[in-house]
Amino acid sequence: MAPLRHVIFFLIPLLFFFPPSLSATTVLPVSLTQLTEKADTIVAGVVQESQAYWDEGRIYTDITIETMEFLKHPTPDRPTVIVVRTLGGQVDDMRMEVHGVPRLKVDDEVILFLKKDDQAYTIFGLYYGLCRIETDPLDATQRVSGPLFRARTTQSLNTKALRLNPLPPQGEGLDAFFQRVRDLLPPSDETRNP
Amino acid sequence: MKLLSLKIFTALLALSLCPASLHAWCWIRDTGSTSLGCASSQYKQSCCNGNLRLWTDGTIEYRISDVTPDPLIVSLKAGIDLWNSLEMSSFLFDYQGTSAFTSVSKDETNLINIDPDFATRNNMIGEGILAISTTWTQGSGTSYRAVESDIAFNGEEFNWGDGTGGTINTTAVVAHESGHSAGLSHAGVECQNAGSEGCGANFEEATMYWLYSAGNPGQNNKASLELDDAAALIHGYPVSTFTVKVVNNADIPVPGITVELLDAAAPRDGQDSLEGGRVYGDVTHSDVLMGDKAPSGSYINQTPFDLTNASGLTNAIHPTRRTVRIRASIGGFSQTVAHTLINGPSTLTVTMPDGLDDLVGPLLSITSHTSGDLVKTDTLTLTGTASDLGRGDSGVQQVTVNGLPAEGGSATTGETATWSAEVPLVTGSNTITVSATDNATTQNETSQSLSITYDIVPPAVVRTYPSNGISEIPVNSSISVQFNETMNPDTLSAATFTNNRGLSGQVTYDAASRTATVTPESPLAPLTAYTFTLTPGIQDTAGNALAAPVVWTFTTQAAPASSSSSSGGCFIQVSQE
Repeated sequence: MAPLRHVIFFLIPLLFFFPPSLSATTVLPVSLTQLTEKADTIVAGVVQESQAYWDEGRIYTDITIETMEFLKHPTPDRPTVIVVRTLGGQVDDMRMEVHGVPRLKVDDEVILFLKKDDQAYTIFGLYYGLCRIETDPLDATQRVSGPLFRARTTQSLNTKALRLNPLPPQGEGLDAFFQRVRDLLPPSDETRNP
Repeated sequence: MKLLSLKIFTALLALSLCPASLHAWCWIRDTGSTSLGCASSQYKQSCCNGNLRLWTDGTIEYRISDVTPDPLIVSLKAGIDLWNSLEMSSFLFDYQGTSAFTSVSKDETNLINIDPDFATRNNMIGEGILAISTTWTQGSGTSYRAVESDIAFNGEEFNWGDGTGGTINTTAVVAHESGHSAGLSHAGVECQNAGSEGCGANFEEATMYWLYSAGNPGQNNKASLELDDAAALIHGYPVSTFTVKVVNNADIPVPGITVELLDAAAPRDGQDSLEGGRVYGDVTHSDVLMGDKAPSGSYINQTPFDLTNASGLTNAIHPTRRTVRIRASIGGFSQTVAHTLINGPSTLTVTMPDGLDDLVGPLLSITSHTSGDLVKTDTLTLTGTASDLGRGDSGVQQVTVNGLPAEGGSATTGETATWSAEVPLVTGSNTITVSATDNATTQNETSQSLSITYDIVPPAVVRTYPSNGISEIPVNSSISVQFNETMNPDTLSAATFTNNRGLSGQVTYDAASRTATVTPESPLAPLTAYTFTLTPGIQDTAGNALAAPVVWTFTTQAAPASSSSSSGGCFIQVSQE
């Protein structure tokens, strides 16, 4: 329990300085540093398909991602396809709507900060670990954006302090974002210099 | 009073600075929520269109998990009961006692739970998640309905209390979360910048405002509802709906009347405690929709009725208070009447006195052109009609165009003038003002202005994709070109957007970006030079053609090494090591 008490000790004072944004799902904004450190896998890919199903009174949706580039991964293997489990979805005419949980559709291009437990990958922080990649149809340049960019302030994992979010609110170029993530990875991480 | 004045001043100032960015509250709709920012077009489509997420009976029978400490049960009920106190909303949260259930699941119980095992149970340890609210829905379109809703608070990693001593204000947060259960999305257009969703006025004190801490450093005022919150719920569950008709003593509708809905307050428990908000009603007429489809500033001194509706002023209002006042005015005459609403629909008829003379200008229409037209002649013939019928009807004295009389611009009582005028134009933008005056002693006038652009400049290409001379273009690319002005889409086709390889594909045009795109029917051939040509058959909307053909060439990449470059959209450049 000591680690948990540690977390509570730091988080409660943080609520005074930066109470969370309210949502039907309420999440404390996290920093890119924190996301990069806590995520087991950081991967860019394309949504290939989604499959919703019931499990213990909830609807989950498994999102199949065709992986394009790994920025972080715990093992040397690089699966070409991974399945991400998200809370909510639709089976027949029944929907389980979880405000704030991202809905992904086929051909969406994304960068995901994932946790891995037992069999399934999940998106860290429900939606903070999802970035979308949008391509300019005119010049094919690609930009990354998402909730991670738009949080006004973020929480530093290392200092427990709050700081202004250094990410540009409207997103940034794909290469610049990749480099930003790689710069946060330990030098020993093999994905730092692919 | 100072606070009210300040709010109104602020709203008007904000509206004058950025009228398009202010919106009122927002509902969750069947088009779904999205994690995209509100600024994206996709967000707005999802947020502000579609059927409301309503409950069939307008009631949520809910229970609180029996693992929740008793003091917190009191706080939870207090927060939820805020919504029950709205006099003009029929929605009800009905407490049914405690429940042995502990988890978010579809179990026919609307459960609220401060879960001491939240993070472990949901495998979300250390992710900073304070609460999860889930609503199950069935159906789509008009049959879209909420059928169950659960809210689970993270009682494992966070302390819940009254907002003091390092605790989170349970009443405030549950008021917000239960608002979502009822169907409300976030208020606050600034959520665009925060990764949250919802739209609405940036009225920070509102409980449904997206940012918990906004409006009060102590956060506690989120444990009370504001007018924006009230108007939102009333929009979905109105107790009363009323229409207004303005007639003369012969019960004939009188057109041209300005009708205003006064009184902004939304009573709660019989008290006008919410006075000072920005929203006071809702109008369902499609042309003047209020709520989350209209600038919230328009709620102040609005004229929410369709003044051109000759059969009467029939917009339905969802008032936020039991007693309302209506002000009907025309010329220098004004009449205010009070109306006490019953539950259900009612009609308020305002009878204008006999003594009113013809105080309304003629009905004027311009039939030959619309504002924004582009022409390539230095003179245009403007035509239209004018009539005083049904507006006091003293006949039309004259129609003028830019101050000069138009031909045929007069008509006697009961007749319609069909007028025309030759208007010289200068290169560029021209503002043309048309006025019609009746024969009343007050010489009532109606005016319209339109902007016509005299355009003789050929369009030009801003850029092409791919650019000229570029190589290694992916074979699944589309070819596009952006123009410097709006083009006539009828002139953009395979016949005018040609290539040297006989490549066929659909030509589309996006007016917003002024971009024409060829989407090939099959991938481009690898390692092949393509030359595309835009012919002078391509014209802008004024009819000006390209001054000369536009030609550019690019070369495609080698054949892809794997199937990963399928139409699924590869966005990562594959290393060729």
